[in-house]
Amino acid sequence: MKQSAKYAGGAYNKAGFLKTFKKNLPLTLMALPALIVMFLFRYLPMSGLLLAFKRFSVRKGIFGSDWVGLNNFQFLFQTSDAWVITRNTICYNVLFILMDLILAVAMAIGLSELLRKRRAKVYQTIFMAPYFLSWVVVSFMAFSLFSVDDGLFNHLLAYFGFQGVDWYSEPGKWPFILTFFQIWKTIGYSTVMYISSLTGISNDYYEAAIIDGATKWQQIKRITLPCLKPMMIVLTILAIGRIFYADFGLFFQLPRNSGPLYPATQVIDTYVYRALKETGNVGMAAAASLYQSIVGFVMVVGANLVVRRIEPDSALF
Amino acid sequence: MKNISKRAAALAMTAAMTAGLLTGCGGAGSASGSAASGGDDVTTLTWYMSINPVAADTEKVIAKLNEYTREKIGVEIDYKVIANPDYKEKMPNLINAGEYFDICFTSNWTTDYLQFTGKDAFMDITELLPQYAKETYEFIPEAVWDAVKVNGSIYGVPSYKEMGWQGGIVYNSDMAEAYGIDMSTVKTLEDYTKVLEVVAEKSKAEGKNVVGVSGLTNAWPMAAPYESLTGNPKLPAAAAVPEFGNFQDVASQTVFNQYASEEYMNYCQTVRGWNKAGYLGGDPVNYDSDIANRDNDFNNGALFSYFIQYAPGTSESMSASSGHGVGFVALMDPLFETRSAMGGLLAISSASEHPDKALEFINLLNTDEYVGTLIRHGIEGEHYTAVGDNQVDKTMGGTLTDNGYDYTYGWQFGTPFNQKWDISYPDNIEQLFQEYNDSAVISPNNGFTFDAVPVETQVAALTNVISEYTPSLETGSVDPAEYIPKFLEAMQANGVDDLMKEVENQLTTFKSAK
Repeated sequence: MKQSAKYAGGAYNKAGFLKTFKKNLPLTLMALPALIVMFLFRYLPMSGLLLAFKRFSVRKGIFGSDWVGLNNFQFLFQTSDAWVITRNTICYNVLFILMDLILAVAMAIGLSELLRKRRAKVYQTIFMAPYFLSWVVVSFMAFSLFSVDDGLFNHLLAYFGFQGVDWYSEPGKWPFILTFFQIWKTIGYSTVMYISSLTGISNDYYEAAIIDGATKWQQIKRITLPCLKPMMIVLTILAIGRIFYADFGLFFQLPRNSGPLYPATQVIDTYVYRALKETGNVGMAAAASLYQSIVGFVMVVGANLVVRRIEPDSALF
Repeated sequence: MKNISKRAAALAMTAAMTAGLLTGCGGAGSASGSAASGGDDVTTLTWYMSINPVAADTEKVIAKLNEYTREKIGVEIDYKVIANPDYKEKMPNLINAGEYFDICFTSNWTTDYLQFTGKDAFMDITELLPQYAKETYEFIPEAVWDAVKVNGSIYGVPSYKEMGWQGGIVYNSDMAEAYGIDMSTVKTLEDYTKVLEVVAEKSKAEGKNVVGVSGLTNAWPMAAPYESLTGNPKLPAAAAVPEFGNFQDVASQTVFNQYASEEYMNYCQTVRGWNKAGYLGGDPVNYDSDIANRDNDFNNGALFSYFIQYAPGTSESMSASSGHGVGFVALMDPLFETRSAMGGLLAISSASEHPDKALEFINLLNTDEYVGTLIRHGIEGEHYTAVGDNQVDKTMGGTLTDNGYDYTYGWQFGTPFNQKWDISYPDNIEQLFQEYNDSAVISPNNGFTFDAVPVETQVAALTNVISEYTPSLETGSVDPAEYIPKFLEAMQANGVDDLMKEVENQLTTFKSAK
């Protein structure tokens, strides 16, 4: 932070630039492969965004195709489901971000309290395991729980003398199911992030606090949480940037594409997929993703702006 | 020392990875130049094919094929075969990315023919056909050529097989006999209720839990056949086919919404009754989607019947694979409409440098018995033994189950009428096809292809609405009296009228141009 301020404030001249460049040559070279990859895969394809405003023809190519203005964006807003899609996408993401933040921090602190024991590592591994499962696999695991005929839950309900539930046609239950699986799957990963930044907190603070007679709760409140705050803010801002992207696997695979569940499971990504899999219109797909990127960009910049107002040191940029 | 070598290794690794990325990007470009290579005066054609599964001995067979075509028409094939599920994902991307190819498989279920014709991906071969593929052009009936025309031009060679589609029910005939069911009384969907009742009753008495019927997600258009004007039977916009005598109250309209018809309500009510009576198992939507499980249940006698689109010889080959007798009852005469010809076509890339040679090759696929048999059954003596003049035995006279190369009926390669048939088919299979084709009803607007571009927004929204409501309605999972009005309302809110209006306008133009 300090260093970059020094550079930014320093007066640049050509000789100075060359000198700095020479000094940083090894570092620049090290960054080069990544920069090239980034350029090739992140910046070069951006010209494809033109497609959002065009009617794509294979023969004419991306640049030669005819312009159609904003026609490609219409399908996102002209549907009667536009409100449901937007509500679901944003509400689920807000919920996921909050739950993930609170639970991951809680788990990280809990695990780090055990950290000197082998057990903590075992738990950590167990929590991490679902992160590596594909949503397709998870969807079959869920199906074995919720299947009407053979599902575990319906067997249990029947065992206790209750009527079985038709899980795949009752949308009311799915906000809970989706949230549960999302958290179950991703929590291990975020927990590890927080654990890594917890290990960075110097033990001196805690020793001093113990000498002063602070309780465990006071230590967490006054030392751990403030030290974790930058990490929490960074991860949250990044998550907010993806607030208009829904996890396709979660919303498509888990409910098994069941029609009656759409009111609770339809999000922008699944809507676009279902809308375009028949017509395969490249322009409309590009329009949808451009729209998502713009919303994401605005959200990141906005969130960062808010953070900078309140806490300049923690802002991303 | 150790340190340096480690560093060098890391550097080499980085360099190699970067280089790999760069070439990966350039690969598509360089491939386009290779088409013209090959020996003296031999043209190499790149052929992208979709078939399931990719047979183990594919390379051997293609080498043999190349030997023959090199002599005959001076062509060698660079065969790029991809299994059906992957082809569906990969081929559209390859075309969109401008990958070079000469021939590719296209249809209305994979790498959509109309969509890519609309994107200028395929070449107009109307003029070239009579010149370079004369026999094929004459062999395939005119109604089929009409059906594949887009704005009056032909962009692909259709596989000529059974004309149109026939919906009906395949059933376990051993079980039907044991339960004393006379299937010949079944003429309509309503008639089938009685059969399902008997199956449920008798199987319960035996202590078994047999699912009566499956495959309902395809059953609605079989119960009340209509001509689908958009080319997608799921999308609203239908026309009545006079020969079937249904949709009486709306038949006078050129275009109607099939979901708003009385027939749809009746169908949904019938299957609702089946569902409530427990003939469909507990969860018909999920049961339908798991085909492997369904086949297994059918073979084991845990499933009595299911709805299919039938082709001659199907029940014979099914009874061979299922281990019990299989019968078929038709719910309708075969219906030939525009989309029927789009089950499989071979199209030529608009960028192809050798459309003439490509057509000559497609002509061989459709007319040459050696080529037709080779590409379906493999090499004689290695993959099959000849039986008489017209049949092959893929088990090679024994019990061989996997011979390394066999596509039995292999309609995706072109017409199956130019090949030797496997002995699991009846002797008179070609005659059965002939009878089927003769009985086919040609739809009133055959040849009309709908251009969805002006109403793409509405199609996108309606596709979502349809996939939300139809699976549960058409399997009787929800009450139609309550859900059909909701469904119609949702379609109304998403521009169904715009779509139908556009279909009607285009249809009027099509008719007046005729």
